[in-house]
Parts: sequence; structure tokens; C-alpha cells
Amino acid sequence: MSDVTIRGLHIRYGKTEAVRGLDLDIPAGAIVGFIGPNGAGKTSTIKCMATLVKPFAGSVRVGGHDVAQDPAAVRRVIGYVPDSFGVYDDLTVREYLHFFAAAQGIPGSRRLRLVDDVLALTDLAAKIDAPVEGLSRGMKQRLSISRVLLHDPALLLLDEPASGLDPHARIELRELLKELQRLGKTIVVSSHILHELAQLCSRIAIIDHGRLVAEGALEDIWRTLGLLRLVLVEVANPGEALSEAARRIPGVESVEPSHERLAIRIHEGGVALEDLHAALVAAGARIRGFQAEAMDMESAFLALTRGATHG
Amino acid sequence: MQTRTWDGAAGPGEDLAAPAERGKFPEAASAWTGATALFTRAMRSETRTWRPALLRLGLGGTMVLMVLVASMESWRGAAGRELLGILAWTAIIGTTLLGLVLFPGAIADEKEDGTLPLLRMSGMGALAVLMGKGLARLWDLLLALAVVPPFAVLAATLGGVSVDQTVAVVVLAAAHAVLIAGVGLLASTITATQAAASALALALLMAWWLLPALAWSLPQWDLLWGPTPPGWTLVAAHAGEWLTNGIGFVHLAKILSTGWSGSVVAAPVWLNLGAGAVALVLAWLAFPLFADSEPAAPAAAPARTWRGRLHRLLAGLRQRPPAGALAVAWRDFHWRGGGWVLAVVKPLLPLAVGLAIILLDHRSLVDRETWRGLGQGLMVTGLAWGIIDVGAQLSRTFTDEIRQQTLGALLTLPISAGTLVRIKVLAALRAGASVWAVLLIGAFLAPKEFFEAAGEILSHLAGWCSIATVAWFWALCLWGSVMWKRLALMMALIGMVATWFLVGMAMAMTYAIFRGGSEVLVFIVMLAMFLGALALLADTPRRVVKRGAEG
Repeated sequence: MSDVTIRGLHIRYGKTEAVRGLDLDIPAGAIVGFIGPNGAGKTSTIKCMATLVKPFAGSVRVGGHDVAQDPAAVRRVIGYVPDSFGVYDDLTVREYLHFFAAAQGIPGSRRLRLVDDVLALTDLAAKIDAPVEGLSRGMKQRLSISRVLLHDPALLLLDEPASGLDPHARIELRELLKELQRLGKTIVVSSHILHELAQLCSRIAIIDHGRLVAEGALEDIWRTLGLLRLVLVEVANPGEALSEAARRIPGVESVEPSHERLAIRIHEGGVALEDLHAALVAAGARIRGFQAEAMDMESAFLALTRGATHG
Repeated sequence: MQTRTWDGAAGPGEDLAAPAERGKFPEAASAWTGATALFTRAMRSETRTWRPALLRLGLGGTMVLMVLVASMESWRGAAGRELLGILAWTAIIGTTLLGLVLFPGAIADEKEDGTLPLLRMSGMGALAVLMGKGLARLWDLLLALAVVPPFAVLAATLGGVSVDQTVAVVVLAAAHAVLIAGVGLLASTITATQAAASALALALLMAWWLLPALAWSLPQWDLLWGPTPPGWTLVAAHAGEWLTNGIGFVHLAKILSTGWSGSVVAAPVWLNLGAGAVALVLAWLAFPLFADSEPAAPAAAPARTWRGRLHRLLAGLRQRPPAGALAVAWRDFHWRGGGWVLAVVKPLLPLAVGLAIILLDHRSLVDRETWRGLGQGLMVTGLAWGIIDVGAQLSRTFTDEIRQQTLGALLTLPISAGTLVRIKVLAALRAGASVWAVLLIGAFLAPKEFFEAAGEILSHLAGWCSIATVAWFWALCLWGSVMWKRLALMMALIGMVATWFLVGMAMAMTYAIFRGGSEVLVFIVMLAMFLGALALLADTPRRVVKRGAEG
């Protein structure tokens, strides 16, 4: 069952059309990486799901509720962290979370325990009485995520959450998102840092010029795009005969021999890595090393958008 | 010509045989260079916005209106003096209000935006920053004042007032602007936010205005330390008189009096200029202490330190937020409005000042007239302060959320934008309620005067028009807080000037055409202002949603 269903979404700011007929389904429990060049329409789409864009054309349903018809019901099932993750600097962490818990209508008797729980989950329990102003950027980001967890939403919308974070804070954020996925949350996360999304997301959606250009699991997108994957094989017995045998393996596009190494390019889906390995051994290769390059999102992204930045 | 990059690398045409200079940062920009750069930047920004032009247009229009009013009143004689009086009071009150909005933001805005360290890193000295930021705003203020001189000269031609008097008014207004600039810059340097700077600047100005009373009362302090020497009384009297004349409003009243023949650049002008310069020097000296270094990130204060105890005490005063939409009002009241501490301090201040005046003036505490006088003073203070205080609160209703980028988080709460607006308005009114308590204390001390004044207001159309004016002003403040990131209060004041101008023009024309009919017009104006306020209130949620989507 889809948590989010978007059909024919058009968003316009004056004469600029930010989103042009977007269709997207986000299944429950998935972590969806939302990627695209600057100005592609990512933030507009996320804001629309967060009930913050009015008016728009098309249909957006979140958790079974229509965003345009029943924004209040949508707000109960979403947690939105904007790219700026604005926080009240003059409050302490405890006051900040108590305020938002109260504003969500959570009764006082439940708040104490709830605030402790979300702080424990986001690893901020030690900072409960610290002023928000004194927190690092990474901690403020985690505090923003704590805020949206207070009412236990099913869907989290995170706009550029890793922006401006140092590597350590990014790793912490990634681990937190994995933990939230284990808790059954559906997470939509937009980012420019593509390799981090690749490690985290079960699906990606690539948007360009306000249109969805690809959506699905990373492997599927590679297959659809016909992208080649590079496999480096180090052998003890290089030679033209072995290279020729490798070229004849089904699914292999090209083989470039270099000293004791073969650079083999294969079609994703054309041949499985273990089958390639077995075929090379059968062809007489004495393999010392076998390394397949990871499918990177950058290649898919650049192939789809041609490196466009229109922001 | 030699050039050098910031890291000391050789630029084109540089003498490579000067290794001792390598690795040095560029020389600190001179105060003048830095100030000019900031001034130019401000002027460039100003040419791209319509607000200052609108302000000048509004002021110019108001001046035209005043000329019309004065010419209509010319049959009573001394039309020039009438016109100059209106011009002069508008100029000096306008300078005070605009100055209190403009100058406190000069440095505090840069602190809030985190751009002050960038200015300092560019080699700009403290004086350059102060001069550059201050001069740009002073220029704005003087440009606004520049609409006064031509009309002041016209006043001299209408008769009843000398050219010297008109020049003296303009000179005094300019000197008063310099004083406000200095005080505003000092407050802006010391405090961290524009709101705090405005409050401190107002407090400093009030202290300046109360200084003469202190000097006058010094000989009477024999209550505390015994009889004072005879010479002391004379010195105190002279100081008191000198300082009293130094207050712009007092000196202006003297200039406008019939037969005034003082010097155009009299001692009070120098006193205002000197006080402004002293405040600027103090700001310069305070800069390294308060504005030069990034404040260390505050950690949670340990409970055993005085800061920790104070923090716990203040936290104890804040009960837990109520569940639901009222939580928003709770936050606004305790943080934006100052909470219970300011709610208590605000009414105590005018009370303390009033009581101090009674004590220092040796008035009898058992005399009923003493308390009645105090009550009247408190009523006027409470009313004026209450209107401005609620306006100031409303002008920050959404400005703070937009600047802190927290509007999106509020809009995804399970409350509608309309409810959010209503709750935040409620919080602003609650924060201003303690000031209204001053009015009520005044009413308790002088009940007869209170009921007479209330009866006057409620039984006359003009009174209802005044109430409509306040509603219109508050609505402008609230609406402006969504529309502009800063200076919403100033924009509301500009809106009021524009409104008064339009209303005045309409009344003048009605009078000129019909030789009457002003009652009907006042009714229409009152109705228009009430409806306008309601329209702005109704439009605000839509604007809030739009802002939330942008931010």
C-alpha cells in the first residue's frame, strides 16, 4: 500500500512552473531518496506533501488523506523538517520539545516521558537542559527530527537534512534514519549528497525540470538506463586468449587488458557478478582479485539530467 | 600599481623583492574607507526599495496638508506661527519615533543575521562599522527631515514668526536626530537583538529626559543626608535649568513662543550634539566588549551558580505549556513578550518614576491632589505606552518566526493558519496587558478624570475615530510582520502617516467645498479604518501560508 500518491502535480510560482505533471508513489516503510539538480522542484514537491504549498494542480494523497481537502489530517501523519531546520534559539532543548508537544495537543501527563523517549532515540538526552543556541549544527538537525517524532508520524519529510553537516554528523544522521526505518517510518529525504542516499535509500526518485525522470530501486534504474558497470579482475595469467574469452561471455560489453588486470564493462542485468566470476574461471583465468565498482547514483543522475543545474 | 592578494601572494606588477610583507593580511581599512563602503551599500540598497521614498512622500504630503490647514486658519492671525508649530512638533516627534526604530537595528541586525564578524574580518574597524551603519541611517532620517525646511520658510512668509525661528527649529531637529542616533547606536552595540536595543534606547532617552528632574531635586535630598551647603543649591539649580533646556521638546517650546529672539545655534543644540557624540564614543568603547567577539555558545548553567539559580527561578515562573493551539500563545508570551518578569516590571517603572517625582518634589503624601495628579499621569502614560507596546508586540508576531525560519514548523502543526494568527494576536495583547494595568491604576487614583475622559471618548464621533485609528495601527503592525522581515513597526508608522495625510486632505477638501460636512466625513473615515483593520486581519492568514511556503 502506498503512503504517498501523487498524480499530475503542477506547482507554479508566478510565471515559473516549478513542478510539471509529477506522478509518484511512495510505498509504506520505504526510504525514498529524492534527488535532482537545484531548482528541479524537489523542495516544492516535499512542501506540497507537507501541506505548505497552496494552490497546486493535481492530486496529492498522504496516508490516504487528500492534501488539498484535508490538510489537518495530513499534518497528523507527517513530520516535516525543512532545509533550514529553523529552531527557537532562545529556548532550552526541553522547553523546545515541550512546546511542540503541547502544540501538537499532547496532554501534559504524557509529555515528560515522550520528550525523554525522543531525546534518547536521537541521542540528545544529555543536552536536555542546554540552550538550543549552544547546540552544534548536527545536534540542531537531530533536535528538528526529535520535534517531528513527538506525535509519532508515519511519514517523515526531510528536505536536505545532510546539508552543512560534517562527516561525523552525517554518519549519525544516517544511523538515525536507519533506526527510524526499523521503527516502520516511511521517509522521504532529498539530498545533493548522492552517495549517502545510495547507502540509505531503498528507492530513489530523480526529478528534473519539475518532472520525474526515473523512480525505483537503484538496480532497476541502472538496468533501465542501460548503464555499464565496471569490474576489475586481477589475474595471474594475462594474455590475449583470456581477454578474447572474456569478451565472448554473454552480457560483457568490453574488455580492456592492462598488465595483469582486465577492466570488464558489463550490462547491469546482463550477467550476474558470480556468473561472470565462474565464466572467467571456466575460461582458465587464475583470479587474484575481483572487484566490482558499486553502482553509484552520480552516474545515474548525470545520465538522466546531463549535469544540469538550473537553480 | 602594486597589488597584493590577501594571503600575500604576488599580484600583477608587484615587487617580488619584498618578502617581509608576505603572509600579512591586508591593512585594516581606515575608518573612513570602511564607513564609506557601508554607507554606499546602504544607499544602493535604498535605491532598490520603495519604502524610504514612500516615507518621504508621506511626510511631504503631510506638510502640504499642514499648509492647507494653516491657510484655512489664517483668519485667526499668525498663520505662520501656527504652521511652524505643527511642522516643528511633527518633525521632532517623528525624529524620535523613527530614530528609535532605525538606529537600534544598526548593529543588532548584523548580530542577529550573523554578518557582523564578516564585516570585522574584512578589516573594518569598530568606528568604521558604527559610522557606516549610523551615517546611512542618519542620512535617511535627515532626508526625511529635509521636507521640513521649505515649508518652514513658507511659514516665515505667512507672518507671525521670524526667519531665525524657522532656522532654529530645523537646526534643533537635526541636533535632536544626532542625539537619537548616538543613543540608538550605543544601545545597538550593547544588546544582542533589535528589540532589546529599541527598549534600551528608549530607557536611555527617558533617563536623559529625567536627568534635569534629578538635578533640580538634588538640594532636596537633605531628607537623606542632612542640610546641603548654600552654594550647592545654586549649582544644582543651574545644572537643572541647563539640562532642562537641553531637552529638545523644552527648547522647541521656547523657540515657538512669541517674541523669541535667542541664538539659532544655542547651548541646547550643542548639548544635544555633544550628548550624541558622547554616546557614539561610548558605543565605540563598548564595541570590543559587546559586539566584537562571537558570544560563547551558552551551556546549561550549573544549578549552584547565580546564573543557574536565576535560570531555574525563571523557568519555575513558566508553567508548562497548555496542550493545543494555546501553546503558541504560551511561547510568545514567555519569550517574545518577556514573560511574567516584564509583565511585573513594565507597570512598576512608571509607578516608580511617579512616586520618585512626588517624593523628590516634597509633595504631601496625604494630599489627595498628589495622588490624583499621579493618577492622571499614569493614565496618559498607560494609554500611550499600551498602544505602542501592543503595536510593537504585533509588529514582531511573525517577523521573528520568519527570521528564525520556524514558520514552516508552526504551519505543519494541527492548527489552521487562521487559528495561529488569532492565538498569536492574543499573546501580543496578553504581553501588553500589564501596561494597561498602569492605565487602570491611574483610573483607580483619579476615577473622576478617568470616567470623564472615557465618557468624552465614547460619546463623541472623534473619540470613536481615535479607537478606529488604534485598531488600524495594530492591524498594520500585524500584517506588516508577515510582509516584512524587519522594520514592520516603522512601516506601520509610515502607514499611519499616509492615512493621516489622506484623511486630512479629504477633510480639507470637504471643508473647502462644502464649508462643513466634516462630521459625515469623520464617520466615513472611522468606518473605513475599522473595515480596513478587519480586512488586514482577514488577509493575514493567507499571507502567513504564502510566507510559510516561501521560507
